[in-house]
Amino acid sequence: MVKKLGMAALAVLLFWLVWWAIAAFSNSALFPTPWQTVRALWVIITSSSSWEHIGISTYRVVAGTAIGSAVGAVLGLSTRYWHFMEITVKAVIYPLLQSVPTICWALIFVLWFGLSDTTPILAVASAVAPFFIINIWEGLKELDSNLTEMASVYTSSRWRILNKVIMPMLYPYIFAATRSSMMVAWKVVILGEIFGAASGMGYMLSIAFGSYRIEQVFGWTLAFAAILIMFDYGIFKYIDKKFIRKWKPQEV
Amino acid sequence: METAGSIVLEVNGISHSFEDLRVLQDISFTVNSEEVVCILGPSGCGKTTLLRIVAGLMPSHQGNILIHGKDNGRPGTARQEIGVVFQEPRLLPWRTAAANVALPFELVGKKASETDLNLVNLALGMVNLIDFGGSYPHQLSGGMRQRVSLARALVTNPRILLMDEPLTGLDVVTREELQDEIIRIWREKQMSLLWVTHDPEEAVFMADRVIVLSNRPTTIKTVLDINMTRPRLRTTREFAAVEQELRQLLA
Repeated sequence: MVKKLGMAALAVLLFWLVWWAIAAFSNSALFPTPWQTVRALWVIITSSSSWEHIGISTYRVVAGTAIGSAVGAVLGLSTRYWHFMEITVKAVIYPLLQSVPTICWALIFVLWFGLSDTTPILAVASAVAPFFIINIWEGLKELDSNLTEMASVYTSSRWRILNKVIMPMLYPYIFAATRSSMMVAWKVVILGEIFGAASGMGYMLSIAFGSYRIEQVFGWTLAFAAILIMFDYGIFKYIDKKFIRKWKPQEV
Repeated sequence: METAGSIVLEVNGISHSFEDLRVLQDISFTVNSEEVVCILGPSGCGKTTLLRIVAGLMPSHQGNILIHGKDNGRPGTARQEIGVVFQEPRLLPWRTAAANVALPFELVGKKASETDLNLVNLALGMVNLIDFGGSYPHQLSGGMRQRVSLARALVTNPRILLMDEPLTGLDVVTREELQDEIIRIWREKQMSLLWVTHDPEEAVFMADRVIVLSNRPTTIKTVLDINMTRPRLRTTREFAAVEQELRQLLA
């Protein structure tokens, strides 16, 4: 463990050194040094308005992921129960959501909803829905039909079998979808805010970019990376270890 | 309340095909209350299909199933009358043994009550697992998992227990131990057992009556009454003779 931490610290140090060397070598205003970036980051994290923007972006990520996950989960599950939905989702909805670039959705939503919360939230929802469709599909494919047959000895209620047997089997897949879609959602929300919002981290990034304050662009980028790492390594890893592992199939 | 000897299960003229392949051909038999009936047949003859039809897990193409006089033709009509133990324990791996045993109550939409909890403990006690209620399936041995599965089937107090080669895959010692225990439980609960097996020795040990099936298309080859007193000893000459007779019928 200590060795692992030591190696990670060494890698970070090496990264900073390389960065510093490039900045020093280029000697350009377009490539700030680590120190200038850290100073810009400090300004960001000590300003209350920055936290307001971070809060707005977080809200959009969570709201967009919630909408996208609900829509994706319902579509994914519907493929098990209705043949028509299986064909529709597999042949039309999933390929459409998967193949259209997020930026196209963002532009369409700007045209429809203007500069508002709705644009980045819907952009996130359209980006994360395919993750849920595909993960629930995979989960349903792996579903242990022996367990559903056992349950049908006691009930004919599809809802109870879904609730007590199928959904718990899908929890690891839903969690995996949430984890990967949350990472994508953050990237999409920044993009959506650059194009279609007047607040949020993406908006602040575009302001810094428009006024050529490159160290602030780097500062916001670093803040963004820190939030993503915190979400993935902090929150999701903890949830996985604490709650999700018991739902994963064990050797029985 | 039925009396010993009254008919619990009636299987009338069951036939079934998988596409063009005829599997079951005009199968008829009855199971009386407090009787153990074994269905003995070669591997792949359709024993499990027959049991699934009886359990209401799949419809048959012809014939009907009456459980206590109720037509079980529409799958699951006589659900509360039966318990099923499958070849594999089919436990939910995220639930403890006790929670697995309580599952039938939840599946019928009941909220957990004190009585249900007592019934779960009673069922676990019956299969000698009272101290393992908090264990997860992966923490239990193969035999213990099958006991949990048996407790789950018993918890609703069924009139007839359908067993689909429940001891296959277990070692000889565990298998014989469980056969003894199931006979003890059968006596205590005064229920009927319909037991599917391909093992003549198991059939002689368990059954009051053995229904021997032929190869596909499967028909009833013969029915053999086992008139041996219980407890049965596997080492007696009489036991060996009946086992030999069944082996010859299977061949």
